[in-house]
Amino acid sequence: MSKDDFFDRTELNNLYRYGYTLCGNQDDAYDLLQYALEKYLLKPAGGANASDISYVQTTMRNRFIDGYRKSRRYPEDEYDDSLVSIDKKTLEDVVVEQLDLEIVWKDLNIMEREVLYYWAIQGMTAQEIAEQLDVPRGTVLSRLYRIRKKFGSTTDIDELSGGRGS
Amino acid sequence: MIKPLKQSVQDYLEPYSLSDDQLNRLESLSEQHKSVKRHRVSIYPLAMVGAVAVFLFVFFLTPYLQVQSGIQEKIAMEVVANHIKLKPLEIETSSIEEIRRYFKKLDFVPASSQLVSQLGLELVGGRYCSLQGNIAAQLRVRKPGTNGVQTLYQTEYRKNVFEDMPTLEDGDKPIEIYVKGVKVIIWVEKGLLFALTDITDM
Repeated sequence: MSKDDFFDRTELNNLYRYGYTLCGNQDDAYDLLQYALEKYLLKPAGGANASDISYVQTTMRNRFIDGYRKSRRYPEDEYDDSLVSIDKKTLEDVVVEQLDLEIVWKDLNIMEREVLYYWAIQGMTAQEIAEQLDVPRGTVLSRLYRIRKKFGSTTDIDELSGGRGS
Repeated sequence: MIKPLKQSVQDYLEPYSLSDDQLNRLESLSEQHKSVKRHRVSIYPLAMVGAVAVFLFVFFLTPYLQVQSGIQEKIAMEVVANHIKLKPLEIETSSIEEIRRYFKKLDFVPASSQLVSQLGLELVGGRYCSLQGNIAAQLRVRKPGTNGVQTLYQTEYRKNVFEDMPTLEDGDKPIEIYVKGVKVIIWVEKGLLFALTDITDM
C-alpha cells in the first residue's frame, strides 16, 4: 500500500482493535493509533522494510511499551526453553464460551493478549508473530501455552472439546 | 454458546471499532500529509543541492580565499600603517647602489624595479623594517619635483609566507588593494616581493 492510498476503514478498525488489545481502553487505543499514523505519514518513503500495517503496529507497540515502562506496568516476559517444542497449533483446538473468553481476557497480560490478537485477528502463525514482535519463536509458543492453560483453568476444555484440547 | 477460541476472540473484539467521527479525523491526517508532502517534494532537491554547495564552499573554497585575501590584506595593512607613520629615514639617497651598500644585514639584495621605473619614481632613501615577520627594506620614493613621498617595501619572496603572488616576469598583473583609503600595489619581481603605496594620491 502506498501512502497516497492510506488505510481503508477495515484496516483502521483492525489497527484500533490492536490498540485496544494493548491498552484495554478505547480512548488510549485511539490516541495510540493516531500517534502511530502521524509517525507513519511523516516517515521517509521506503524508510521501513516491514509492511505499512506492520510498521504502524510496531510503532503503536513501541509507544505503548515506552509509556508503560515509565509507570512500571509492563510485565516482564517469561520464557521457558522447555516449551519450544509445543505444537504451533496449540490454540487451534481450544473451544470456549464467549462469556468465559471475556472473563479470561481480563486475566491475560498484555503480551498474551497481543499474541492472541495476531493469531486470531490477523491469522498469523507462531513464526510470523515472532517476527512481528522481534522475539524468538519459543517465546511466542510459551505465551500460547500459557494462554491455553488459562483457558483450561476456567473452562473444562477437555470435556468441552471431547479431549481435543489436551 | 461454545465456539473455537479464534472465533470467540474475533467476536469479542468486533464491537470495538472507530466511530465515523474518529475515522474521518484519521483519514484527514492523510490529506494533511499530502499537502505537506507536496511542498516537501518541491523543496527537498533544492535544499540538498544548496547544502552540498555550501559544504563545498565552506570546506574547500573559503579557506583558500581566506588565505589569499588574508595575506594580501595583512601586507597592505602593515605597509599603510608604516607609510602613515613615516618614520625617519636611516639613509637618504637616490642611488640604488648606495641603498645596497647600506642594507648589508638583509638576506637579500635590494633591487630596482621595472614597474617603479615605469611609474617615474625616484629613490629618496630607506630604513630597515620587516614585513610579516620577514626582514625588509622600507624605501621612500617620489615623483621628481614633488614633495609627496610613497613607501616601497622590498623583501625576499617566500612562497610559504606570502602564498601565490603575481609575478611581473610571468606577465601577471599586480594586486591592488585599498587599506585605510590608501591603495597598495603588491607584486613579485626579481625574486623579491614589492609593496608600493599608490602614486595617484601624491
